[in-house]
Parts: sequence; structure tokens; C-alpha cells
Amino acid sequence: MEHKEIRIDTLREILLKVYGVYTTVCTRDTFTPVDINAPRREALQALLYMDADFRKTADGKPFDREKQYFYCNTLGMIWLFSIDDTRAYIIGPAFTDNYSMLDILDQLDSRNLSGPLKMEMREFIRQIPVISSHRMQQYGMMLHCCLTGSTLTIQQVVILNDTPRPMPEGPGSATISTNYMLEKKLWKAVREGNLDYRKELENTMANVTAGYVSDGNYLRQDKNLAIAQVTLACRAAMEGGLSPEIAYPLSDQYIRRIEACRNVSEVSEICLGVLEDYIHRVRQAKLRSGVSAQICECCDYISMHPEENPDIQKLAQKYGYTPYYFSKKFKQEVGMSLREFTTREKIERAKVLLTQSSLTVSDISEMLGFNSQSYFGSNFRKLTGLTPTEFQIGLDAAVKNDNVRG
Amino acid sequence: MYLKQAINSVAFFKAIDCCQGEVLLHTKEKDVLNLRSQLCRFVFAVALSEGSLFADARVECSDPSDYLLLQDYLTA
Repeated sequence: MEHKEIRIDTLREILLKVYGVYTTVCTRDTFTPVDINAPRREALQALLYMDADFRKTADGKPFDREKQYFYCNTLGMIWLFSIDDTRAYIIGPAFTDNYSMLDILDQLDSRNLSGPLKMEMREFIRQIPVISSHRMQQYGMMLHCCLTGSTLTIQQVVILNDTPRPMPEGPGSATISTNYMLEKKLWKAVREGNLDYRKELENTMANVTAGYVSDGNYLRQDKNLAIAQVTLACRAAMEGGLSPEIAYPLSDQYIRRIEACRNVSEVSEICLGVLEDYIHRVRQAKLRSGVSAQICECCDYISMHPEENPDIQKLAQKYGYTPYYFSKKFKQEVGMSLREFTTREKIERAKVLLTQSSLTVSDISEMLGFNSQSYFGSNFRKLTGLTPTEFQIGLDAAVKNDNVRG
Repeated sequence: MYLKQAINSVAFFKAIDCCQGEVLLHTKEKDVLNLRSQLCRFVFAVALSEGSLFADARVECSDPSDYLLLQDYLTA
């Protein structure tokens, strides 16, 4: 047996025995099931295929082995799948919220089914797990890793719906987490109109889990998180220079659209559109407000590569200025010198590394290009009021307190 | 017309999608499923996999020409 097959078998075993999640292996060409590790195989297969033919993409293109596909049927059940050269690997079905499951049970009750049929349906429905969309995404990442050995990025996720409609450009599905540090990076990208926000979003998706903000209803949960996201994006965009006359009505419009969503896939699509939309608008506002495109580009680059110490000679040359004029222009437009801006970006990255990685203070100092650990420490304290270690301990303590309270 | 045993429900649903009128399934237990409804298809798929629930189940098409489309799945 090949390594890949062993990995897939192990994942399927874990998903079934630990999480109660069913998986199906199909032929790639016709999606004919080869192995379904679930009871009532025929019924599960019929469920997957009865709504619409998901076996083709909305634009008619063949499935891509580098992508992963989510499919949600009209009864609120969700599946995801990836392919390789010969097979399609399907995870599901699952309800993404209790509401969908209870809704089906209510509908069945209202149809006055006979006793045996009603019992049969209740028993079957209870075998379908309820899993949040975020958890499904995590299973999807595991599946992709087993198949390709690489990490799944949100640009590789495609949502297939029962009603074909144009897919949004750019990233696929995502749930916004409440993780403070990563969120800050995301909102910083909005404030700065930084289109490279996807990296932060992927980081957020891969590393954090959202808290419960609904009473067991995952659709409501995703809607609540999405509304919080819209509100925060709106505020970040205004801090970034977007006019309140534009930002507030846009926020209202998005919230109304979120409330009208019927399933988590629709909510996720709106979430991604929100970030893209606000970031573009902030970027436009900045360009109009006197910060030149060159300086914007320069800032974006430094934000993405804080570990590099920018060479002012090279930057000036790149944009056709003298070093003196470039420094002056940068300070004039950004409100701080290139060195101050770079240090600030390094410290922001350090905060994330201190809380999200197992790297030591010394490692982080070296990684971010500081000449010494003491120089890193003094800059860190100057900008945050804490030493790196105090910052790390302080956050740990806050997390522990939260856990105790929770 | 009566429903055959051990049919492929996915193919059966596809055939029903081609029908012009309503397709109703009447069971011995007096259940009536409208097989154009997604919820009823769900019930049908689950119950069919159990086997005995649809023994002697009767299929009624509102448009007589639809029986021809479903002939592979029905018996007199």
C-alpha cells in the first residue's frame, strides 16, 4: 500500500471513530462509490446525488486536484471533497447546525408519517453528525494534506451550491475567528488597504477556533461572527481613511445580506466579499488622500517582509528618487520615518510570533533582523510598554483566566 | 403500478425529473410521498435502504405518459 493510501485510510478511520464523520471514496470520473464507511450506504449515496448534479463545477471546468470543493444541499447538509488522479474523496454528510436537523424533523412531523417511517427517519437523521463549518474546513485541510502533502489555502477552496451562481474571485470559504492577535493583523490589513490580507486570513483560518456565540445553532453562530466581522471591518476601514458616509451604509447593507442567508456557504461568501470590498475602498481612499502609489507599495512590502531591513538606496532607486527625497516623501506621507515604520512592523510581527509560535525571544529577535536581543527588547518595550517576555506571560495569563471563566 | 424492489434511487429521481406531472408514492402504511419534493425524496431514499418499508408500494403519476418514463422502476 502506498504512503498516501495509508494516510487516507488513517484519516478516514479517525474521522469515523473519533468524530463520527463518514467518508466515501469514489471513482474520479463518474463519482461512483468504491467504498463508503457508513451504515445505510444507499441512503447516504442518494442524499449526496439527489439534489443536483454537483459532479461538475459551476463554470463547467473539470475538477482540479489542487482545490477542494464544498457542497451544501437544500436540506442543509454539507459535504466536502478532493480528488487525485483516479479517486474522489468525500467527507460527509454533516449538518452544520442543529437548526437544520431540527427543521427537517419538524417538517417530517408535520407530514404525519406513519409510525415505522417516522421512527426510521428519526433514527437515520440522528446518525448524521452536527459539525460546524469551521470544523469541516479543518477536516478538509487534513484531507488535502493527506493527498498532496501540502497545506490547503483558502484560495483553493471552492463552494459548489445546488443553485449554480458565479463564484467570487479570490479566496474561498472562511470563518473569522476571535483570536485577538491574528484578528489585529487582519484589521491592520483593512486599515492599510493592504490587498495581501489573504495571508493573514489563511493564518487565522488555520490556527484558531471561534468561540461559541450562539446557542448550538451553527448558522446563527456563523451569522453572528460575520456581523461582528462586518462591524470591525467597517471601523477599521474608517480608521484607514474611508469616509463614514460610505462605510456605515455599506456595513448595513452587508448585515442585511447576512441575515438573509439560508446556509453557511452563503455566509462565508459574503464574509470574503466584505474584506475584499473594504480593503479596496480603503486603498482607493488612501490613494486619493495624498499617499502615493509608490509609498503604498513600499509600505505593503515592508508589512509583508518585516524581517528584511529595507535598503533606502535600493528603494529610492526603484522608484526613481534620490535617497534623501524618498526619505522625506515617505515621512511626509506616512507620518513617520522609514526606519520607524519598519520597526513598528517588526514589533507587530513579533507579537504574533510570541503568542502563536514556540519560538524563543532570542529566535524571534534574530528572525526579525534585530542586531541584538537587547535592542529588540528595548524597541518592543518602547512600542508596547512591556518586555517580550512580559507580553508573552501576560497573554498566557489572560488566556488562562478566560479558560477558568469559560 | 407498483414499485420494483432494489431500485437505484438516484437513477429513479433522475427519471422523475423528466416527468411532466406529479409522482406520488403510496405505501401500505398509508404514507403518501410526493417524489418531486426534496424532503420526500430524502424520506424515500432512507426508507428504500431499509427494504421492507416500501414492500407493495404503489406509484401514481398525474400525467399518464409519465408511466412510460418510469417503466424501468415499476411493475404492474
